[in-house]
This record gives sequence, C-alpha cells and structure tokens, in this order.
Amino acid sequence: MNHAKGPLLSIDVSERETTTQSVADERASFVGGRGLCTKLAHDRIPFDADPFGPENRIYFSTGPLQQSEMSFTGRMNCTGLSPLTDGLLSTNAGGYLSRNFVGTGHSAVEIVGEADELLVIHVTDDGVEFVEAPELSGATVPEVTEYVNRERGLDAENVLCIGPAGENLVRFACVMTYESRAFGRGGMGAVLGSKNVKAVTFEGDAAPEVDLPEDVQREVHSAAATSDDLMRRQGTTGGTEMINDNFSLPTRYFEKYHFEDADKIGGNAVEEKKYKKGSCSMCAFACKLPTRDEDTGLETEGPEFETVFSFGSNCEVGDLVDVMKSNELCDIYGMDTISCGNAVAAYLAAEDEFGNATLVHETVEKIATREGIGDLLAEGVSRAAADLGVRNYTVKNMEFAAHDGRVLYGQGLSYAVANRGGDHMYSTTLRVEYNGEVDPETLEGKPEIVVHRENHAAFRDSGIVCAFAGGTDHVTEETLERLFECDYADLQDVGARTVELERHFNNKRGMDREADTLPYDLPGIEAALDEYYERRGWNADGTVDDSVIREYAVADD
Amino acid sequence: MDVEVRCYGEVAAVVGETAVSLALDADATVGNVVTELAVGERAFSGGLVVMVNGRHAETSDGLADGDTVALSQAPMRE
Repeated sequence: MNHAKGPLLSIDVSERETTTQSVADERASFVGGRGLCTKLAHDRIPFDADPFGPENRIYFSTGPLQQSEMSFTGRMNCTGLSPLTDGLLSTNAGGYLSRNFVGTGHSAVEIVGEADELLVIHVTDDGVEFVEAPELSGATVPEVTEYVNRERGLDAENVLCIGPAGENLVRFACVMTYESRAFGRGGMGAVLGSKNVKAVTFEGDAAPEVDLPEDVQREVHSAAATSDDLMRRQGTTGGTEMINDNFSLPTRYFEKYHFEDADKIGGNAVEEKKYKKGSCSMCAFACKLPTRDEDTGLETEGPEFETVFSFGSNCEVGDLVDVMKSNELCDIYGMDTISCGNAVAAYLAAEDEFGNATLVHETVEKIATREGIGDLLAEGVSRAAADLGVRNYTVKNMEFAAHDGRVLYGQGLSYAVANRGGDHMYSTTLRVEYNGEVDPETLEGKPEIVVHRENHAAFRDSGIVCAFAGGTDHVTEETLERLFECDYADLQDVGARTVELERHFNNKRGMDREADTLPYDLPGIEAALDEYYERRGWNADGTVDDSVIREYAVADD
Repeated sequence: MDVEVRCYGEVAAVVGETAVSLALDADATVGNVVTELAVGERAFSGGLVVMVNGRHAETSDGLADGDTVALSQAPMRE
C-alpha cells in the first residue's frame, strides 16, 4: 500500500531541541495524515495529559498524495489532545502548505513542551530554527503572515500560525494557514498557543519520492478541471435553500428548523459576491469562495455553508455581508466559525438579541480577546450553557455543524458516536440521507452505514483526499484502490484502526457510552448504539479493550 | 391537478426558473414532472434528488393536487 515517506521530526520547544526518528512501521500501517498522527498521538501523549500542558503533543502530517500532482490533494492533517472535547482529535485544512511541508522531507512533525518566549519555528530541509518573537504577541493572522514575509521572505503558503484566540486559549481556536484556511475544529490553535508557539513555517526541496500511478492522477485532475459541479461556483453553499426548504437549517439557536431569509445568505447570494476563483494546492476543482462586498470593501473567503448556518440562520442574521464579516473576523482572530457561531447564537438566545449583527461582531471580538462575556463564551457552548441558561447543543463538548441530526437520523447517530463529537465530517452520513439513498428519518440500517463512512473518512484524511472529491464522484473506491495499490477493504481497515485508537485514547480519559449522548431524543438511538458497538467489535459500554489496541502495535512499539 | 415545482441549484439553471406551477393529468407521476421540465436527461452533480412534500420520491410515485415537488442536484458533496 502506498504511504507517506520520511521520518518524524520531534520539536521540543521547552528545550529548543529537535530529534528525528523513523516511523516506517507506523507509516506502513497507518499510511499518513490522520492515521499516522493518531497512532503517534495515541502512543506518545499521556492518557492523563492536560490539553494545555507541556505534555500534550500536536502533530502535523501529510499523506502520500501530497507528493502527487493530482487535484483534491491540497490538504494537511493536525492531531492532538483537544481542549474542547478533552479527547484525541484530528482536523485538516486546505490551502497550499502541504507541498511545502512535504518539501522538508518529513512525514510528520510533532511539537511538545512549552516555550518560555513566544516563538516562530522555521522548519526546512536543512534543520529547525527557533526565533523569539515577542513582538507578535496579540498579532492577527494576517499580521503574522506579513511578519514572516518581511523577516524571511516566505509566503502565506509556507505558514501555519495562530491569532489572538490561540494565544488566549479560546477552546475553539484554529491553527490557520494561507490566512483563511483553518485546521478548524477542536481548538488545536489553543494547544499551539499553550506551547507559546505563534507560527511554524515549512520550506524545502527534499520531498521524498512516492511512486503513484500517473494515469489515475491524470484522470482525476482532468475530471476536476472539466466538472460543471455547482460546487465550483458556490462552494458548499449551493444546497442551502434546498436543505432549508426540505430538511432543516437550524435557526435561532436550534429553536426553529427553517430560516425565512435563507435565500439572502445562500448559494446564489454568495456567488454574487464571489470576485475570483479560489483553490488549494494542485486542485483544478477550485471550489473556494473569495468574496467581496463592493459597498463596504469587505473581502473574505466564504462564507461556506457551515458559516451560513452558524453566523446566519442560527443567529437569525439574514444579511450576507454581516455573515461575511463574522467569517472574516474569525479568520483574522483564528477561530472555528462553527463553534464560534454557535457560542454567539447561544449568547443571543440568552439575551433575546437574535438578528443583532452588531452584537454578533462585537461578541466575536470579545471571545477572541476573552473580554467580558467573551471569556465565558471562549470556553465553548458546553461549558457556558448553564451560566447562560440555554440548552447545551453539543456532543462531547463539540458544537454541532449545520446538518441537523433531528431530521437526518443517521447523521444524528454519527454525531453521537463520533470521537470528536458534533462534527459532520467524521462520517458525512448526511450525504446519503440528503440524497435519498436511505430514508433520513429512521435509524434502521444506519449503524452499518456510519461505520463504513467513518472508516472511509478516516482513511480519506490519511491519504489525504479532499472530502469534496466525494465518495462516489471524482475519487471513487476504485480510484483509491488504484492510487494506493491495494483492495478497498484494506483502506477501510486503516480507517477502522484509526477510529479505534481514538476511541481507546478517549476511553482512557473516562469517555464511554455515556459520552455518546445527544442533547435530543432520536427514536431507536439505544438500539442503534448497541449495533454500532457490536459492528465495531467494541464492548456494550462503548469501550475498546486494551488487547485490541495491542494488536496494532508496530515493530517500533 | 396542479402541482408546485421548486427547482434548486443546477436544476434551476436548466429549467430557467426556481419555481414552476404545472397542470398535470389526475394520474400523473413524479416522472411526468421530470419529463415535462426536461431534466431527466441531464447529469446533475451527485444525481437528481427528487422530493415531494419534503420526502424523497421515486419517478414512479403518484402525485396529488397541491403537492410540492423539489428537484435538485445532490445538495452536499461531502
């Protein structure tokens, strides 16, 4: 099976020392990206670690496809112990960083410890340099990018960094790259902030060779370049009105299922503001959304569908420019738009201020700086809900994405069991329910689907293939078999082992079936949980035996 | 009978309208709507999604007076 190449680079910021070590067996077993990082994180982060402690470790990695010239591969993975979910969590970002990361010659980079000064770390194919940068304290994401350009002559595509939110340990702070692309969910920006690391740059010409079949790469690239998919014009917002009319677009902090102004913030409205094409590294599909409002001069990238929900319908804000501004503020300060939008919506519910866009924008800034009410909201909805007097719409402390588990029952089950909680990307079961491949309003047959799609997603994030290539559209199961030169069942197995390692780590931190709980009733959920655990071969209390994990030990263990 | 058809995204682009009212025979099916609007031959991203009154429907499903038919490409590509 094809897999990432190169050693693990470990960076201890306490000692300002680096080591490299072979992870050949881990790469062979877990491919790269999320799988490789999950294996390393599971084995190297103490089960009782404090997410903000020096013992937590944050990993960055690519897969073998980041050494290709194929569309849908401009992505990277980030993994660590999440300060939001308190469990092992992976998140990935697009942009252009992945090829520069590969150029340093490493398959994964690990950062551990806690620096005594705010640092910028430069990783090249020739070594690692630590630069003290106290002047960057409080700097926004664009200011960090400008600094790196000024001081090192590097571009936005060489940089990952945090904004003020990461420094202030906002539990849903992102690691940002290319200014607007986010390792979005779960607060990995706050983990980097806790280590006093403001930015890491990657530059080099030492990419290891990976022998990937060229004919497959050409086929995928050609399909991406010639596709007339609506996503190429409207990103993920193209389904907004259809979902609002026929399923649910959560509104007024989940109080309502439909938003009467959806057409004002949906796909057509976003496309009207789009002023150029936007892409990720090597991708001809180009589904990104650089937008500009000519009246105000506001420019941002997006909003994508999730932000249309979180800062639009869920805050009852029906003006696209207001949603664009929320999106831009999150990018500048380095925060996840889904969690941040939900936190703001919860606050609007508490204050009965739905639709107050000015208050929304003020609150976003207060969260990033932990000023006033922002200090409470920066803890995330789950930790703030009781004080606010609102219902806690999260799973494992992770705020929900737009796709409403109350009408998409399989997606609801997915939120419940996902090791990172209310995140739609963990299985994207939503897709087959929206499409009508299965009845959305039943849990019958859904455990099998969720298991399959979780495994697929975990492998996809290890390869790494963009989720928008689809499970059946541009990168099919057969395409994956040809790219990785193995059976699809082997890829499913990599995904299953990755999910299982996450689960085992979380079990060791006290999470079991009780954590697999939704804040609303779904008919048949207990039976579905039983079946899900049984299909995974787990215990009925949602735990994984140590003996199962020992089977995943590799030669280095 | 009269039915309301709501067209989304790629389907709206083909039909040229986001909403169409159709007068159909009493025994009309979803397939008749698809044929009437000439969307059956097109390949939509992720396939054509058809819903009647908020529930997924097959082309062979019958319609009733006052029904609302939704036609769309797959709304999410993830």
